[in-house]
Amino acid sequence: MLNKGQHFFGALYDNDYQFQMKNERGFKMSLRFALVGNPNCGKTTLFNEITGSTQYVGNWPGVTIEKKEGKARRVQEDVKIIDLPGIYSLSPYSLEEIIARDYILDEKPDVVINIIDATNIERNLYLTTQLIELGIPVVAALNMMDAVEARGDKIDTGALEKGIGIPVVPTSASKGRGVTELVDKAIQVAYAAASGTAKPQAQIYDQEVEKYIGNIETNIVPSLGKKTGNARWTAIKLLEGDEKVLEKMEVPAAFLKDIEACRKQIESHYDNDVETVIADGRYKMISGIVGKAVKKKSGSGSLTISDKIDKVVTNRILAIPLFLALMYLVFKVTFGEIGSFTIDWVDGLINGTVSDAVSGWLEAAGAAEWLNGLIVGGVIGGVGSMLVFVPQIMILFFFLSILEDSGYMARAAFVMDRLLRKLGLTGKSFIPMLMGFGCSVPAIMGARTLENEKDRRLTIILTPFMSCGARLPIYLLFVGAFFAKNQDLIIFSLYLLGIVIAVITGIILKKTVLKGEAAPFVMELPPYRIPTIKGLLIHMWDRGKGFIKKAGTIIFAAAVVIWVLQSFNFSFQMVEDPAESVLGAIGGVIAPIFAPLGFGDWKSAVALITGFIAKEAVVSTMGILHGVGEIAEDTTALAAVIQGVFTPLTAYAFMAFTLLYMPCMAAFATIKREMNSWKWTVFTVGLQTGIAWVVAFLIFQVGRLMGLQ
Amino acid sequence: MQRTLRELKPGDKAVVTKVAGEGAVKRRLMDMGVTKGAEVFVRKVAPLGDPIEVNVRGYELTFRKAEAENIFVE
Amino acid sequence: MINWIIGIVVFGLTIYIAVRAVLKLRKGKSVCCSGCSSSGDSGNCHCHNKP
Repeated sequence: MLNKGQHFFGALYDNDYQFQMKNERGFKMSLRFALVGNPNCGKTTLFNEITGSTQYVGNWPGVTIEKKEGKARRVQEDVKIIDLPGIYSLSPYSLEEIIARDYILDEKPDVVINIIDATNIERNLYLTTQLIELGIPVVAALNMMDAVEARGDKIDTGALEKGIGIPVVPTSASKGRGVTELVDKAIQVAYAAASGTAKPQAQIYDQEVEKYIGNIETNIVPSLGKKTGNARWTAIKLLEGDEKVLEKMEVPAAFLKDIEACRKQIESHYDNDVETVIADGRYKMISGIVGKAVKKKSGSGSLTISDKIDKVVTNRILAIPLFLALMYLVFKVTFGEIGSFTIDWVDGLINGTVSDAVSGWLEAAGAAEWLNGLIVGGVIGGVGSMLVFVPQIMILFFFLSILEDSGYMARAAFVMDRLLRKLGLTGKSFIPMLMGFGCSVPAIMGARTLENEKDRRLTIILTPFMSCGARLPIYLLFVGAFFAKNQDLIIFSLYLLGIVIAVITGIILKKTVLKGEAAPFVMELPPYRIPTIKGLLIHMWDRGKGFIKKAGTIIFAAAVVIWVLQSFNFSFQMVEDPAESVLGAIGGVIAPIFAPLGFGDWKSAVALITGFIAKEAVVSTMGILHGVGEIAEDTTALAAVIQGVFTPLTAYAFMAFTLLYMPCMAAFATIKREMNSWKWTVFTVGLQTGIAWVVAFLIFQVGRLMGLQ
Repeated sequence: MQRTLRELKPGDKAVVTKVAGEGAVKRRLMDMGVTKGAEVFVRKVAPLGDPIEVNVRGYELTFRKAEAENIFVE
Repeated sequence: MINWIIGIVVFGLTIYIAVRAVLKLRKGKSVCCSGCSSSGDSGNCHCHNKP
C-alpha cells in the first residue's frame, strides 16, 4: 500500500497531466494490455505465466475462437490482460485477424504486447510492423530465447530495439524468465504514453510509396473526420485497398478516385500490385534490421539428420507402407499374446483373490448381505471389470507416446495431406484425429490448430470415430469371449471401420453442410527427437494414471449408482432378480430400440446408456448387471457370462455400435465448448449415434441374411 | 530464367523473384515471408509430390504444389 | 453398526464424486485425464504435476 502511495505521489510531482489522467480513472490506474503474436510463438504459455489461475476462458461471440482474459499477478497495478488470437498479419481476411484488429482499434488497449518467436524473427516481425502502424504503444517480447541459446545463435536486443523503434524484452515463457520484466516494461510504457506525446511513426517504405501515403494522409484522411484512429495507418490501409476500412470510413467517390490514381501510379512504377509492394517494403526493412541484430550459428542451407531420416520416412514409395507397418506392429503387440496375458493375470487377481478376500472379511465383520452385494458385486465387480484392461491400455499409450515424442506424428500429417485433401480434410486434421485414438478430449481441443472454421467443425465431428482408449475394455471383453483366436485382427477391423465411417461421413458433410474452400496448408515440422525412455514412461504413466484415477472416481460412483438401481425396485425394496429393479424397468423401455441390432436385452441397453458417463462404464455395468463380482473363482468370469447373451455376430454389432455412438460426457462437454453452439453439439452427437445405429443394424441384419450367427 | 518453386528438388536453393496468383493464397504466402528477395531452401517433398517443405527466412514452411507453382525463383 | 459406517462412506464418496464431476464440466475442465499430456496447451488439465 505504501508503495502505491509513493508511486502516486511521485507522479503528482512529476507531471500534472499524468495526475489528471490518474484522477479521471480513479486512484488506481487500471490498465489493459493485449497479447498479440503468431500462432505457436509461446503466447499461451506467456499468458499463463502472467495471469496464472486468474484467467477466464470463453469464446469470442458466435465463433469457435477462444477468448482469454486474466489479471496480471505480482504487480501492484490493476492490469487486465487479454489474449488475442494467433495471427500472422493484420489483413482483414481471416476471422482471427479481424477479431484481433477490431479489438485493438475499437477497445484501444493501453499497450499491445507483441510476442515474437525468436527462432523465427523475420516472419514474426512482419506482424510487428503492422502493429506499430496502428498507433498504439507496442512492447515486444522476444520469446523462446532458451531455444535460441541452445542453437548457439546470438541476438542483439539493443540493435533490434533501435531498428524497430519499440522496447524489446527477451523472455523465455516456458522457463518463466523475463516475464516480470516484460510486464513492468509494459506498465512503464503505458504510463509514459498517458503523459507524453506520441512519437511520430518511422517511415519504413520506399520514397515512392511514402510519397503517396503522405499525400493521402494530409489531403484525404482529415476530411473523413470521426473515427479515423491513427491517420497514417488509415492512409496506408486506404492505399492498400483494405475493404473493411473503406467501408467503415465511407470514403466519398471523389476521394476514391484519387486513391485509385495513387495506386495506379505505384503499380506502374513497381510493376506489381500495391499489396505486394507494401509487403515487400516491410520485409526489406525487416531484413535490414535482422541482418544487423541476429547472428546465426549454422547455415540453414544444408540437410540435417532429420532431413535425411525424412528422405526415407516421406519417400514416395516407402512412406505409406511404412506407416501401415508401424500401425500393424503396434496392434500386434498390444492386442496379441502379450496383451492378453496381462488381462488374465489382473482378472484372476481382482475377481478371484481380492473379491474373495473382501467378501470373507465383510461376512466376518457382520456386514449385512446387501452391503456385501454393494461392495463385492457393485464396486469390485464394476470397477474391477474395467481395471482388468489397464495394463493393455498402458501398452497402447506407450506406443502413442513414442509416435508423438519422436516427431513422427507431424510427418504422418505431412504424408497424409494429399490423401486427406481428396476427402475434403487437410493434413492438419490428421494430428488431432490420431490423438483421438488415445482420448477424444485432447484431440477435439487439438482441432484449434486449424485456421478454417469449417475444417475445425468437421474435424471435431469426425474425431470421436477414431476409437478412443476408453472403448478398448469393451472390445477386449468381447473379443476375449468370442474371437479369442483372432483378437488383434478383429480389433484392427474395428479401428478400420471407425476410419472408414469417418471418411465417408467426412465426404458427405463436406458436400452438404460444411461446404467450403480448402485453406492454404501451412505447417511447421519440428525436428526429430529420440524420445527418452524416462519421458515415454512418464507419458505412459500419466495417461495410465488417468485411467486408474477415473476408475477410482467416476467409475466407482457410477458403479455404486448402478448397483443400487439394479437392486431395488420403485418401492425401495430389494429384489432378487435385477430385471424387476428400477434399472430393469428403465432398461425394458429402452431395450426395444436395440432389438433390430441384435442386442435387445435390457442389460445391454442400460450398459450402453451408462457409456455416456464414461465408455469404460459399459463394461463395468455389464459386470454388475450380470452379477460377476459374486462369481468367485472364475477367471474371465464376465466373458463366460456374456457368451450366453451374445453371439459372435451380435457381439460384433455391439462393438460397432459402441465404436461409433456418441462419446462420453467429458468429450461431450469438450465438443460443446469447442463448437460454441448447442445446435452443432446436438447435431454432432445425434449424427454419431444415428450412424452407430444404422451401421450396427446393417451388420446384424446382413450378417443374419448371410447365414452367420 | 524463370523457374517455379515446384520444379526444385530437396537440397536446392533459390531466391524468390515474384509471387503470382491472386487472393487468399497469395496473401498467405506473403504473410509467411515468401516475397521478393527471400532465400528458400527445399528440405523435402511428400510422396505424391506435395506438400513441399521449405526453409524460408530462417524457418520451416510447408505448402502445396499448387501454391509452389505460383512462386517464381532463380 | 459397521453397515452404517461403510454404507455412509460409500454413498458419501459417490455423491462427492458426482457433484465434483458436474462442477468440473461446467467450468470446462477436463474430467477425463487420460489424454491431457499430449494436447498443446495444458491450461485445462490438472491431472498431473509439472515434472
